[in-house]
Amino acid sequence: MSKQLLLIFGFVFFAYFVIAYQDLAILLSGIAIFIIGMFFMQDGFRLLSGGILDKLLQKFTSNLFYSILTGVISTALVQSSTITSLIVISFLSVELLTLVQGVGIIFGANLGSTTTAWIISSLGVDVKISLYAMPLIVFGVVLRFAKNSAYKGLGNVLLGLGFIFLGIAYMKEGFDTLKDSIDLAAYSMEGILGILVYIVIGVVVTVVIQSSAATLAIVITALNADSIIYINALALVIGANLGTTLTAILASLASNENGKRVAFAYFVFNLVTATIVTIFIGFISGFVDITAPYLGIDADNYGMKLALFHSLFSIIGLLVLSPFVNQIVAFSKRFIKKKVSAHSKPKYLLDVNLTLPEAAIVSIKKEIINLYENCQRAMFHAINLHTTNLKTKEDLEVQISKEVTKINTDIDEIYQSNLKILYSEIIKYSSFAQENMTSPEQQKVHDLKRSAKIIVEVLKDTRDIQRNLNFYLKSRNDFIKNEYNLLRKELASILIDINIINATEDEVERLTQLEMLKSTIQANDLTNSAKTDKLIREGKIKATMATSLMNDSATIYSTQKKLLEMATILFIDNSLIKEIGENFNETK
Amino acid sequence: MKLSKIISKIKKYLKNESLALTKQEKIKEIIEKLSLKKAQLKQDMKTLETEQEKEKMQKELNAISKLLKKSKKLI
Repeated sequence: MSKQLLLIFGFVFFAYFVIAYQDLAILLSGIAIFIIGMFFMQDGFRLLSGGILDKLLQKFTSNLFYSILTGVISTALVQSSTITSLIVISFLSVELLTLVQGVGIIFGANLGSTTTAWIISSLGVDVKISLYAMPLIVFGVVLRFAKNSAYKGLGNVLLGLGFIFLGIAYMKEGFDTLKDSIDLAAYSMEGILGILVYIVIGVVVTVVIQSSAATLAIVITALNADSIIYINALALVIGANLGTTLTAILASLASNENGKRVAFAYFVFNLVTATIVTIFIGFISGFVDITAPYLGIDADNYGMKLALFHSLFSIIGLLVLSPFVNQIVAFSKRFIKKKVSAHSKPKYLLDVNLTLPEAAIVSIKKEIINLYENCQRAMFHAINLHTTNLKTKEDLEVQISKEVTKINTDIDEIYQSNLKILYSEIIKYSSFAQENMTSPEQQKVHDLKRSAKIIVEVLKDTRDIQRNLNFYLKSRNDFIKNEYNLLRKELASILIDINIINATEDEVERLTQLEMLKSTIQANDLTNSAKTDKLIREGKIKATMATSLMNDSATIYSTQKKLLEMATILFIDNSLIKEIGENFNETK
Repeated sequence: MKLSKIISKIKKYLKNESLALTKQEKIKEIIEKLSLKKAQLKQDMKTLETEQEKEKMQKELNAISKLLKKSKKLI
């Protein structure tokens, strides 16, 4: 309750803030549109991953040189290293790129982004990326109507890029007031202190404006107007390069560990290069003065010289750090470790037990029960039942009788982020353990592995019925609503019954309960089928409802049978008792 | 046939025999346990008042009867 109140209060405060300060509203809208763009782009690349895009990327990033070149060209084309880094982070999230390839592209992007400074200094105007936004959004929406998933993916990518462009444009607009208020001329400073101070200013301004190109535009304009001295402008460029890495770091926060690692590598690249360039700033500045006439740059054209310095910054970084890409990648892997949730960590799979067959079997069994408990929780949530205070059938009756409140449960997400790791660990450990076992012991482990497979299967079965269940539980047709509520109750009942069996000590008693459950689910299946027929005959439910109900009812029955098989494997240890139960099934 | 092989075959036979005997004894134990439970349930059923409780207990009785039938086949 207090959390909800805090949330409402926070929202009201935020709304007031946005309404009261119009400039901030534009800025925040820009950030929001930018984030939406990121989501669209990530979805788009996911849809495209099965198509030709991955082959193209493989082709153009087959080695480090090509990766860097792809980074330079793509960034020069889209005029934003931020966009390139976002694409790389998206690609890494869906494993379309390796980390080394990603880092190569990012390194190249740093050089590609320097073309913006050349354009600004030669044209004197900023390239308005917002001009591209609307056509991209229009094309994106049109492509999203396509049936082909590759086109849909491309549509999402274009939409994403469009929103990112639009978002950046809004952010820049929102920061216009801030940009005007920064009077760099008032802070001109000479010497080492001046360099350091201006580096910090460059970082801060770029972080606030979220664009190194915008920072450079300010610097070039100020330099042309003699508002700042040349050496301070060079320091600002160094700061802008450092500040732009923070944009990539922010974007990577929503990504997986590889996305974070590439953002970290980008930061390392610019930090090391900035350190080198700062130390040798005098030499590099002199080098710019010497080479400028050969490139047709006048001695007093400080804007162009600044662009040359910007490019040199990246070239130095590439020359110094390219040979160490593998080391930087290894360092980033050490620094940013893969996050493993508590649910996906095995609790009982101890390496010391691997050579002791009996102990290994117990470890595997306990871990599978742990996997089952996690799956069971997800299954309860998927059918909108809270697991706290759900121990008995009476507790279930209480929850079922109440109005259904949807619990947002993404089973695919739960499986991918938690349970798949645990399941994989169980299978891996079992395979190693089986090496040192006799034939009957191997059979036991084989059965246990089957029970783990069943657990994952029933979780996926639950996912399959979840959509219809949520849909029909809100139906205005009480008949279909009741039928789905009954299916929900039947699935939950067997989960509770299995927990009761697990808590029963006597194995004969456990087998008796399992046999009872077998007859119950069989009887339920027959009753459900007859009821559905009756509802159709009496015109109480539509044929479309009936087919959904029949399919989901069959899934529930199959899930229940699988659960009983799993319970027999996991909770009946005595092979003789197991034999009685199994033979009994055969005679049926 | 070598003497060692004959001895090994005899040992194996004796071992299997003893296993079969153990299995039979164990099944008998299970049958005894199930029979006791069945008798207990039948007695308890008489004291039950609601139909729901009687139905539940009947299900348990049916399950035990089926298990007993199969256990006896295994002897």
